[in-house]
Amino acid sequence: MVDEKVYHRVSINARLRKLDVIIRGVSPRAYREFKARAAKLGLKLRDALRQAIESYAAAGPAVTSVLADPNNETYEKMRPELLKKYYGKHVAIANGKLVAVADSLQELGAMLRELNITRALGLQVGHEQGGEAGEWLWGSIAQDNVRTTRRE
Amino acid sequence: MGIYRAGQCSNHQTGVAPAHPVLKITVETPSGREREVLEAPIDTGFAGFLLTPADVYAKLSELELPQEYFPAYLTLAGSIIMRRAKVRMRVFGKVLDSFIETPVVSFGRLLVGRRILNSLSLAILGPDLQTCELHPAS
Repeated sequence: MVDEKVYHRVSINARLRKLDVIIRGVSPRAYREFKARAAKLGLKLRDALRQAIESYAAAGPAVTSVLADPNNETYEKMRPELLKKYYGKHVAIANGKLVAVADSLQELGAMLRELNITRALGLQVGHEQGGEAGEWLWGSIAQDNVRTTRRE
Repeated sequence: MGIYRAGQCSNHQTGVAPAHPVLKITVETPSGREREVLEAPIDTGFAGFLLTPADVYAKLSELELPQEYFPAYLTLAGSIIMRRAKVRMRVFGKVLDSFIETPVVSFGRLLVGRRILNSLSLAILGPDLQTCELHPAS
């Protein structure tokens, strides 16, 4: 969330050793959501942001990884090499090493079957998309499991 | 716009009120070793692919994406990060290389989102309680 171009200056109240920070590059959607959540918690935006930064910093490097996964760790280490050697290829990493490289998902699937690998990390190098993927809004309200005995 | 003819149809789920339009989707792992036939409720409010409960995801996630490609969806309760795995799907005979997803935290549910719906020509025939594939009538 924090852009590289962060400008800061020492606050007038230097005794408290706090900084005023301007953050660039925050998406309007994320900002609106953050502001709304802060309001819901009865916090001023600045206090919510301060808390968020402090809690993120306190959590340490572990927050960058969602789950502990040796295949993912291998991927992180191999990423530059994968991009250089296998851009556009379909690859699979299992048991902490690169096990298959293929031109298509179908071919990769056949290789996994041949190698008897039932669980792997896989991607088409340089072609996958992650991050903010859109919303899941109306459905989350409308689709609560309201069971009924009445047939329509 | 053109004129379309309805082909195969999926019947609505009628155990919920009101009845829910669904798509019958066959999901297969890339190796073809695991396969599930799912009746996924249609959710035009979900921007993703095929959301599945955790147990279904565990069975079909033979080839999961790296964590840096786990998507985040905005909900009314804040952002939810999903795991995502590559699968092959068959919907009304059409084969799609696509994804299944499930929340990293919490159990998930079965829903088909817009990233799949937008690749299909469909008609929801509410009074008939059916969702049908459409073909151009030539």
